Amino acid sequence: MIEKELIKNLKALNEIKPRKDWVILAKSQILDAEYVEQRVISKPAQKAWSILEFFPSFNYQKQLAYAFATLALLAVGVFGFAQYTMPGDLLFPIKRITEQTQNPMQVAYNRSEDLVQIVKENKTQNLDSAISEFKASMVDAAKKLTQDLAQNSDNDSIKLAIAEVKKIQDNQKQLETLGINIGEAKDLDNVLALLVQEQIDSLNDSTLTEGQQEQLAEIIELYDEGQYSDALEKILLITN
Amino acid sequence: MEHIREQFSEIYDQYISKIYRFVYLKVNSQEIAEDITSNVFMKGWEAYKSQKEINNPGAFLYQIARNSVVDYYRQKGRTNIVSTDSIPQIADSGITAHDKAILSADVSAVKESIYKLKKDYQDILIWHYLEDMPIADIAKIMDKPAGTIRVMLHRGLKELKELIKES
Repeated sequence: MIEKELIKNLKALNEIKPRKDWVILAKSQILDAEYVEQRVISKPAQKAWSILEFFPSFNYQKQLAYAFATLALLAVGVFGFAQYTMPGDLLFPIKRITEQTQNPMQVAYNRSEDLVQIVKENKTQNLDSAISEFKASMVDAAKKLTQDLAQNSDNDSIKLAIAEVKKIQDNQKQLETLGINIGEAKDLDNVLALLVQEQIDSLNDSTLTEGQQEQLAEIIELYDEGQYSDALEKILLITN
Repeated sequence: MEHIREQFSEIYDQYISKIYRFVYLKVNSQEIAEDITSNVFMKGWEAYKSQKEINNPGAFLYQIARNSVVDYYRQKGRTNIVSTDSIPQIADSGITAHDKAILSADVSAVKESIYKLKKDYQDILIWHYLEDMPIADIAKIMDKPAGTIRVMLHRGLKELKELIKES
């Protein structure tokens, strides 16, 4: 084979070409795979990660964030579970912490509800704690009631106080029927007695119709019997 | 990013056949040539999108292809100077059905003989005669003086002629 012919045959090797389907496939594998991947990852997410990667300390902070999230979930779980506890239970102090923002009258009512529940379910191991908690809550409720009435002894405030006291008294009666006598709620009674006394004095100084005078006599009778919340209800009827 | 992708897409279309042919004549196997060529363009794309300075994409891709073929033979435990005794066991059956269909007997013989040539002679002959690459460009890729390339081209043709005679 002479050189010229050899070169001609060499150039003829130009006919060797790759398979068309492979050319297209390889191109898509090289270029499109990454292109699709970029499209699948949403741009805001990608941007956020790139920002995180820019600050190496963020990787450490990510771990902290996960730890914090886990702790937060755990705390939420504990606080949630604590809402179903009774006095004497391990997690009850947590429930008491969460109740600090509530009105002491409401808390006292909650304790009376707990007590009823404990007696009904015969949870004797919780009974002592429940009675102690109820009495303590009643002291707090009486203090709060005294403060509220000193600041604002209008009819609406008295109505609210009476409603709360009635709810607690209902529970006390229920407990008595179940065989539990926790004694009189002296602190609360003292506050109510004082309030009734003030109102009776005020009515005595006022000019009353015959009917109102009869009602006042009944109020004084209720006061003497120690039924202060009933006496207050009647007072509200006269003053309204 | 989209702009860079389009640019590389054009480079791919322009060079895919050339690189494939270059690799195929050096490995004498369609399957292996396809694998190596894919790898060449993959590496090329990685470099291109990282905004590396690539003045001559053709030379850049040929350089990757040369190295990839060397790596391939290294992995196969072969030297870059191919012993004629070992070729029948290593290569494909030689002339494939595809080659038979498109290449004449003489051209096929040239193809088989190129495969047996020294690596550098292979490169120079393919670039200059198949791809019409000027001597100056080959000199740049191989980092050798143009005169040396001319001498190598002459010697490569001579050796090829002898190999064809032997076959």
